Amino acid sequence: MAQFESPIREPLITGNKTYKQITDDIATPTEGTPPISWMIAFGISLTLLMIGFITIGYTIFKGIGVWGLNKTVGWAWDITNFVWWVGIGHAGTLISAILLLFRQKWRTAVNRAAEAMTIFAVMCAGLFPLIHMGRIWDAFFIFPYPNTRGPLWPNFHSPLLWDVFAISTYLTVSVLFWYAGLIPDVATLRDRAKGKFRKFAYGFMAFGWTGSAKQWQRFEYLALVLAGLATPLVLSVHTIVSFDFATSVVKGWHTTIFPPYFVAGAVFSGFAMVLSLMLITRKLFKLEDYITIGHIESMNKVILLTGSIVGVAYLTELFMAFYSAERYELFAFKYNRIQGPLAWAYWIMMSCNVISPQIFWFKKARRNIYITFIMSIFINIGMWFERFVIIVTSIYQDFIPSSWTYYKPTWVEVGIYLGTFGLFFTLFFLFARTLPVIAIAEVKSILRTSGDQFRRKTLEKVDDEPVYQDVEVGQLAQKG
Amino acid sequence: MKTKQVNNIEPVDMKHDLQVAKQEETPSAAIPVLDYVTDSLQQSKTSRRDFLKTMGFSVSAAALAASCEIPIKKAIPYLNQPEHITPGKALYYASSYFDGKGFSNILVKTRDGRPIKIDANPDAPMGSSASATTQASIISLYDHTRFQAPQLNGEEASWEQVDSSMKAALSKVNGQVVLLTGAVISPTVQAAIDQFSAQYNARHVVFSAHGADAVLLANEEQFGQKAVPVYQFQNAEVVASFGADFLGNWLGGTSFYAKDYISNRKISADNPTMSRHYQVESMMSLTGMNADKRKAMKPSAVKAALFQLHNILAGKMGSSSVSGVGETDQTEFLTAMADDLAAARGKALVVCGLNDVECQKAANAINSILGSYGSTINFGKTLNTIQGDSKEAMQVLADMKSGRIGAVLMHGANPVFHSPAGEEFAAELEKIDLVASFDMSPNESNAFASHILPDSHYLEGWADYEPVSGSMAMAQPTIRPLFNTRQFGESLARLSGEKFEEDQSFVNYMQNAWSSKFGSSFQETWDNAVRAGFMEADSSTETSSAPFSAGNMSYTATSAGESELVLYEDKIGNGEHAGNPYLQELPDPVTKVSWDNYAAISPKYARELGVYVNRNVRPAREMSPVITLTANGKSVDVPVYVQPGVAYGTIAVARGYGRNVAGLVGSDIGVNVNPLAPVNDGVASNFTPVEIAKTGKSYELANSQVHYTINDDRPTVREATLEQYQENHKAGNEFRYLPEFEHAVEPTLYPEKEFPAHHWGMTVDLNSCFGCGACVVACNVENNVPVVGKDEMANHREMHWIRIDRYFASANEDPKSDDYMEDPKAVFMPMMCQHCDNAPCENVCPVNATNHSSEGLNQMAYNRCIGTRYCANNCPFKVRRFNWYDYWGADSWGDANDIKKNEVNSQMRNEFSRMILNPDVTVRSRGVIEKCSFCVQRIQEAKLDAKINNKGLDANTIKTACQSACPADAIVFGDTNNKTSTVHENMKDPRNYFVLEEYHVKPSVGYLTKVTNADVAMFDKSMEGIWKTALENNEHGDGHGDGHGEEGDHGVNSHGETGTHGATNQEDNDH
Repeated sequence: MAQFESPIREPLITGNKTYKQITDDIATPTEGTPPISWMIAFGISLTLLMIGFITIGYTIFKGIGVWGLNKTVGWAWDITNFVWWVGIGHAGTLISAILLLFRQKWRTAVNRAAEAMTIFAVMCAGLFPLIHMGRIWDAFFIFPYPNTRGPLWPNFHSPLLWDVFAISTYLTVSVLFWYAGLIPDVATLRDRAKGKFRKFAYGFMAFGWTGSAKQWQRFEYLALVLAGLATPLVLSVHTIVSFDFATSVVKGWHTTIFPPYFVAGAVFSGFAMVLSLMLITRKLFKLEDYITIGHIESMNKVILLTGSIVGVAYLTELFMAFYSAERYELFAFKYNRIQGPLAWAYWIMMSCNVISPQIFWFKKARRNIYITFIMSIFINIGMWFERFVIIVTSIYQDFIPSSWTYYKPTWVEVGIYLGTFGLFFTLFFLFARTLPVIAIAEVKSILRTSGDQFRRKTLEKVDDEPVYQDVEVGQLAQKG
Repeated sequence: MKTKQVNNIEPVDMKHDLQVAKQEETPSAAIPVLDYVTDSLQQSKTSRRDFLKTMGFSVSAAALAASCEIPIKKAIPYLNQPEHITPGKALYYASSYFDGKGFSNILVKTRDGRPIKIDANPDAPMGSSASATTQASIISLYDHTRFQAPQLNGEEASWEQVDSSMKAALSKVNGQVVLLTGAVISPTVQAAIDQFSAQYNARHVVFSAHGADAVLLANEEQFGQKAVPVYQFQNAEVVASFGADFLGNWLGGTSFYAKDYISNRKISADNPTMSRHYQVESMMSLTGMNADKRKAMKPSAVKAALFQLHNILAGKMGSSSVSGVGETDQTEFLTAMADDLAAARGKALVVCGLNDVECQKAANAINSILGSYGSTINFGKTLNTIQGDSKEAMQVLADMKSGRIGAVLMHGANPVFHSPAGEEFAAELEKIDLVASFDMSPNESNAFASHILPDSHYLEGWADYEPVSGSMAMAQPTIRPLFNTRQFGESLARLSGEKFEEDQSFVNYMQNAWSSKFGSSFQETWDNAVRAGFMEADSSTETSSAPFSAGNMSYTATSAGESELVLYEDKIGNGEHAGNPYLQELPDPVTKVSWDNYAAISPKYARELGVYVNRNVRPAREMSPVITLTANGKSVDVPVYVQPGVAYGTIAVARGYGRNVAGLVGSDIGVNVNPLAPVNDGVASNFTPVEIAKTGKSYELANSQVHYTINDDRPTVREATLEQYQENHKAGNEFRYLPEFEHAVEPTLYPEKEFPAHHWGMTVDLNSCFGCGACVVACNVENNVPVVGKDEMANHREMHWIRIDRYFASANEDPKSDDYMEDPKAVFMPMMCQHCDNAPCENVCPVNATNHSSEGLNQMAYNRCIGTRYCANNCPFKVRRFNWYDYWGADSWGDANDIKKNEVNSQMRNEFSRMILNPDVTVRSRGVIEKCSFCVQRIQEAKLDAKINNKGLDANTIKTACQSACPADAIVFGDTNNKTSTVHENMKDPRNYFVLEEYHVKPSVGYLTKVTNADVAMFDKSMEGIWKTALENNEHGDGHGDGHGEEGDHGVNSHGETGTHGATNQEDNDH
């Protein structure tokens, strides 16, 4: 994938790295005893996971009644969390698939972690459609399996069924993509491994990778094929998730704008989550040379774009509610969201998702780690509230005023949400300790074109050329 | 077991089998698989593969068998099949219900020897209907907290022991024997009481728990009869009520007056007239919510208004007026009322609910001026259910204090709770030598009893009743007594020395009494009475009058306090039904609060007192501030409920709550306000000045409908005035006939569903429904709908399949304004599953658990439901109910789901309460959605019957539970495909509309517009906004087309035949 790249571009790998150094930098965190900081973080994650186990067990044992739902509000935190986690996953697929097809080299530093994040997020997400069922023990009814009941098939009209297919396909392709990309790196770990178990484990996972030219060729092809498969998924998964709402008659759900709006929102929140995670990982694992400010800026640009798309979608909804003069729809937006008992949620969503990301019009903000981190948290909060606003504020006061209610979560729902954080971070920390968080092979593949030492060499050559003299390329190259 | 079987397959057997197979097959036709079975394989021991298979199977089988312990439930068939009982077939018994105040002729449905449902007896002569209280009374049969055996000094004892101890105690009693009972309307029981009184020189006192004795006293003075006449609302064209909640709990209440009143409110194209109903009251009552013209004022002002009306009418009609009556600020309103009443002279009726003798005398005088006696009031018959004299009851207390009473025997009277002087009663009962109780259940008064001789439940015993003089009714047992109980009459008779043979009981005593009365015709009379449930001794419908003498009428202005308190009764009466979970859970028709009583205060007054909670805009679980009410020298703390329609300065609180000892669920619900009632001249008043103090505390009320107005011009409820209706039968419903609207509901990409055979549908006449809630309880009992308890009600998780939505409209709907909702109008709307032909719930279910039948029913397959709740979210009517917990304890999770009292009402989950379950209806497990099924079990039963009898289904045979319970016949169910059915007729009525029809969900439940005999239609807001604009445009389009419109309107019976008004005009203009 090495092709020509303009020397005045910012280097993607800084710090005069050699190939050996890259291997060492990335592989070291997976070897040796974990640092105390990792232990503490992992302990916290495990605690949260336990809270999740307990609260989910309590829900299954007692019934959905332990949640704060009621006759009017049938979904709240459960489906909010589901959509939120699915959305989080989208950045991974976008980075690994679409950016691969677009030959965006900066993806190499973040794609591995982002893909892992996708898988873990989808696992967290998949939990909610299961546990929100009143009778989880009959969950297999939703699969179209041959049976003696008629045979009785699921309802292919139902978007919930489409969800089952969409999410399971998504998880499968994501795992394949992630694992296929891991193979050369796992082989590297295998070759460095000391100790019988490590050798065996990595050896087993590496599928006998030797690094021959033929293997590399097939590897590249497989990556492209999987990217081709995953690309439509980026669009389809959240489109189908949006159908969960769009195909209903509920005002505030029944909207044709939902598919693009949901996909943009998913990418938006996914990038925010990638940023939150990578800013911490790069610091903890000292990977600043691979995940540079340039990377962060690129991601902030995506956030600005998708955030603005989401903002336009919000305004479009408002305009359509007004322009259609549809009394129930107008009410849903005017009195359920902008005003009304749950207006606070709407305005948290608006300020976190639409107003505050506008700061990224400023380059200084885009390249500021602290602002980026705070914004990434804001966006995660805002996108959670977006789903909450869509789900709860649309149904708690709907067509027939006699059934209007309100919704407040119980400790069980909060516990389950925390539990999914536990699941996510437990898996992420395990991943970070056992597998390379940055794709070693892929980073190496761009070292010659994007490493700063090679850039400098090229620039030294072009310094002699008079045409470039008035450009302060040296300074540019050294920035960041 | 299975493991063994698999392991037992020996290789030898296998070989043998194969050899047999080989011998049978010719070599050429050998099954190819046999080729694989080489000799070596045949000889081999169990292969690795077999081992793994066996292993896998046995491990999973063992795991399955070990992990799912399913409780064993036995269904044992009859050893000897009893006569008449066919398993799976219901038996109906005609009987009667009497709870000390309310009376109904009923039909009791039994299945396998268990009574499971009560309905009104449709053949009964007295327009009887079964109110919510009657419907719900069936659960009290299965109340295991009632007395299960006779008791002596707190210990269980045998009947012989208790009887002999009683006789001994009665014979040596030092002082008078007093028998305190509720109203006695049974001639045989009365005879037993007389016999007992003669034997022991006892004094029988009827203790009124319901505060209606002022009517009796006034009638005694003015008519010489201490009785309540029969009010005939069906003859009244103008009804004026001064604080009488006759549709709720006034005198005969729902069961007696609802049907008659509603018969004059029904409206149709053939008979476009209806009565006019004025209501002057202090609280917002169920009756007031149905009034055409209503004024809310303090009780003292209601009294003043009644007297002013009297004087206006007296002036008009030239009779003498009462002196000392000033002019109220409602002169204009009262003059208009007087004009209407006077114009309808002979067809007018004035009723008064204030328990004040002066007021009742004034009401009698007004009725006399209006010539009501002999037309709308029949003094030829009396309503016997109203008995009791507070004066006499207070005299008992005085006598107890003076030590003249040696024994108190009680049945149906609970003076410690009911009486304003309850504490004094308690103190005196403590001192009395012999306190005995014949009550069915423990209560506050019989806690002092040394002898308990428990009465049977009314469904377990025989009784004869004379609720209205001259009309006899019968009650017969529908089940053998569940516990060791004995009927009250029998206990009394035995104590009086009456001889009962070994196997004899009250029925023999009753038959003896009857045979002496009827002589030779006894057997025939008896048989007919038992079969029919009633006996029409006097079939004359003649209405007679009684000589009226105004007597000494006077007006004493009751001291008008700054705040005044009104005490009223709701569904649980004066506490006698507090232990009934169905009734406690039934939201109050007015406030929609369940499981509590509260101080209802108008919004404006609440704001002034600083206790305002606007639930209308904050539908959260709001806490209610608690206030202290002080009156009659007593104080109680009551939570505030802001209720539009309560008079400014008035506080209304329901009696009957705050009981300490009250059955299944009734203890410690709400507060007892009986002590607040002042006793004037021995009459316990139901209104009094009161002092209010804030406490700073707060309390949570379970409110099932928090929002009470219809916002932003939603056409949910459509209304017209009588005048508008007379002009145009589509009034209020016009836009349904606009071309724009028809266009909006027509187009679809999908083929329309067809229902070639039946298409079940329902219509609800909003003009008839008066909101009582009988349908809700009937549905609960019929369909095994669980009771969920207060906390779950507060969580908005009621399971009711049908609910009564109630909405208010006010001239000023700005919540910030001062007079917001001060003079509201109300409307009720029963809402159940609409069985949409294009149901939004159906297509979103991932597992096809809810789908459409070929007869238009939206049906639930509970077994298939996995509980995603998407259907409930997508239901625009919000009628789907989710089983949040295991409410009936039906799941195999066992004790794991024994949820504490506050979470789920676990008192309903015992072996007795479960006997009420209808075996025709599945008990839903936790985690599934349920909803109204249009009583599909009744449809199936009727279809089967028709099939067996080889005949078609009659048009109106099938009645849903809500329909047969409705005292107003507002609900009509049937086959809309059947052109002779009532529902088909109703669907064609120009008043008919479907809720949310514009969403093309195609509901099967039609609503007929509400028509009020008022000046403006308050709920006609739907005509504003875009529809009004569309209508105006359409009318402008008419230009000279008015004539067509008129033509179109005249004689329109069905829009289907004559074409629609708007559309016709439009087309005419276009051509």
